[in-house]
Formats: sequence, structure tokens, C-alpha cells
Amino acid sequence: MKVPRVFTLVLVVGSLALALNLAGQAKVRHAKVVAPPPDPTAMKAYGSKTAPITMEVFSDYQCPACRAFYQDTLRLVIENYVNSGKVYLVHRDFPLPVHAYSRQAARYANAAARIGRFDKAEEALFAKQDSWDKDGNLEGALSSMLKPAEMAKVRQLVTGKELDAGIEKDMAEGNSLHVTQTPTSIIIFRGQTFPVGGLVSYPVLRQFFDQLLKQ
Amino acid sequence: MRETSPLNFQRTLLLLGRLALAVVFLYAAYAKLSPAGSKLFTISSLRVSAGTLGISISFFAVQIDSFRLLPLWAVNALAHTLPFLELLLGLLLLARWQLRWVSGFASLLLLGFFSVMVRTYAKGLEINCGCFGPGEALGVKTLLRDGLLAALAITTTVIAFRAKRGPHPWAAPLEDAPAK
Repeated sequence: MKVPRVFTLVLVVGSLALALNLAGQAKVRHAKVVAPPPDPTAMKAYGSKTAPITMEVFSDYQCPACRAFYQDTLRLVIENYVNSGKVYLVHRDFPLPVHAYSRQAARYANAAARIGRFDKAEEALFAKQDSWDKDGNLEGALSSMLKPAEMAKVRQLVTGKELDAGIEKDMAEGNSLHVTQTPTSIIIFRGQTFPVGGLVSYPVLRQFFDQLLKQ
Repeated sequence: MRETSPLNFQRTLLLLGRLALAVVFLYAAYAKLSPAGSKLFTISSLRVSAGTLGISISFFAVQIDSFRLLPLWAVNALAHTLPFLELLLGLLLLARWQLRWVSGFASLLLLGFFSVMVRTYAKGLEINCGCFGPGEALGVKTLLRDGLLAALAITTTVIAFRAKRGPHPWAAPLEDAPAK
């Protein structure tokens, strides 16, 4: 019985297609899985990205106003709004040229963020600002909060140059938003942006957040 | 132009000054009360509801607080009253109601703003001025602008008081009126 030519052609083409598909899948299975690079912004953020309010704070670790803002306002924001999923708080580095050690402090904070200890580093840097402000002894300030093994990792990361890219990115973001001083907060809610320069007390900020959340 | 002409130099200055101040105050009130993020002078900026008003006023309170001058109760009091006071002043200036006293009050208000801004700037606090809505940085330009506005208000007030002293031009006899 003569097999139709068309049927033969279809069989050949189909076999070829199947062979190619199987080969491709094998290639995918054996391909090296490359992990995405760590997101420096997420490592220096508190809370959930799905929170209705995002608050980006451009800050300098050597700035006394930033310290006051962190200790008197932001810690309460974290406790009452971030932990309950209402605010996503993002730290952005904006070291000012007038502060001799602020960029180095930002490097240490970013290094701590890489090992998941950003919150402790930020707390230590602001708490001990008065001492490292004079002599630049940042490791002395951080060692009170980080374990020796963690300090060793942080030290290793700081000596590399990879952390500067994240700091420069934050500063570029700040410059594009016309940030000229620290602290400057950018509050974002449903596409609306509310820039706030300087210190704001917690009760006033809380009122504002409550009004936003009523919507 | 005659001294008795309704549109002499003094009265023209008074008219322009009054209208300029009215526009400034009305715009300031509108910028503070309109929904944040909306483009000014669009339909969306006019859709002021209780909700958007609450947000605008509470955000204005945040801006006042950043000056670090007033206690909480005063911050809230000012945030809830100043925009409406500016609205009222603008309307009264437009209507030319009790012009001397209204422009005098406006002068005091603008002088008060200006002195606070100068003090804050001298302290090195580069914050948002909040004068005409959010996102307006305090700097040399804003200081100059608000200084000129205060000067305009004072000039308008002085002219208003001087104009009140003399008779109304239309009531004064014309110089070349034929003798009866």
C-alpha cells in the first residue's frame, strides 16, 4: 500500500520538532541558575511593599537632625505604622559633603544591610553619633550591636567598592527630587507625592497618616 | 490727568495693589486647600471634599511643624484657620470692604510670615515654605518674593489711608466749572 507523501512529510517534520523541543528543555535544565542581584533598596527598608503609604527618608548618619528624626519620630512610625502594614519605610542615603564621615557611615550601614542587619546598624550609628562624629570610629559604634562574625563580614564588604553604587543611586534619586537637606521625607500615597523637608514630630505625622488612611 | 480724576496715580496704585494682594491671598488659600497632587487650575483641583480637605490641612500642619516654632496645639490651630483666613482676606480685598483695615491686617500677616521665614532661613533650615502649596523650598527666591509682597501690602495700606483723608474725586468741584 502506497503511504501518502503528505503523511510522510508531516511525520518527519513532527519528529524533528519534537527532537528540537526535547533538546531545548535539556539545555534549560542544565543551564546555570543565576540569582538576581540583591536589591539595595529593599535591604534598607522596613515593612511590606504592599503597604498603602510609602515613606522614603533621605538621611545622613552624621546629621543631628536626622538622628533626632530617627529617634523621636521614625522609631514610633515603625512601631505603630510599619509593623501593622500601613507604611513601607525606605531609607535612602544622602551623605552631605560637610560631614566628614557620613559617606563611610553609609557604607557601613549598606554593608550591614547586605547581611540583614540594617536595623541594628542604623540604631547603633545614630545612638553613638556623638562619639564617632569626632573621631570617625564607626566600627567601635557598630561593634556594640553586631556580633564579631557579622562585623568581619561588614568590614570585608566595606573595603570593596560595590557599596558605592547603591549610595550614588540614592543620591541621584534625591537630586532628581530636589532634595537639598537632610532629613527629607517623600511620602507617597496612591500616586500622590508629599515632600517634607526637615524634622516633623510624631503626633503631627500620625495625624497626616491617619487622614491618608481614611481614604 | 487731574488730581480729581477718578483714575489718578494714587488711585490706580491702590486698585492694582488691592487686586494683586487679593489674587495672592486667593491663590495661597486655593493652593493649600486643593487636593494634593492635582494640577492647579484644573477640574480635579476643584473637587474638594471633606476627605481631600482633611489631607490638605493635615499636610499643611506637617509643613508648619517643620519650622519647629510652635507647639502641637498651635500647629493644628494655624493649619485649620490660616487657609480660610487667606480666602476671606482675598475676597474682602476683592470686594474692597473696609479696605484700610483689611489691607492693614494683610500687611501684618505678610510681615509675620516674612519674619518667620527669615529667622528659619538664618537658622539654616532649608524646609518647604508651604506658602503656595507643597513642595516649595524655602530659599532666597521665596524670601525675596514674600518680602516684595509684604512691601506691596504696606504700600497699599498707606495709600488706602491717605486716599481716605481727602474728599472723593467725584464730590470735589471741578477747577474750570462755569460759575453760576
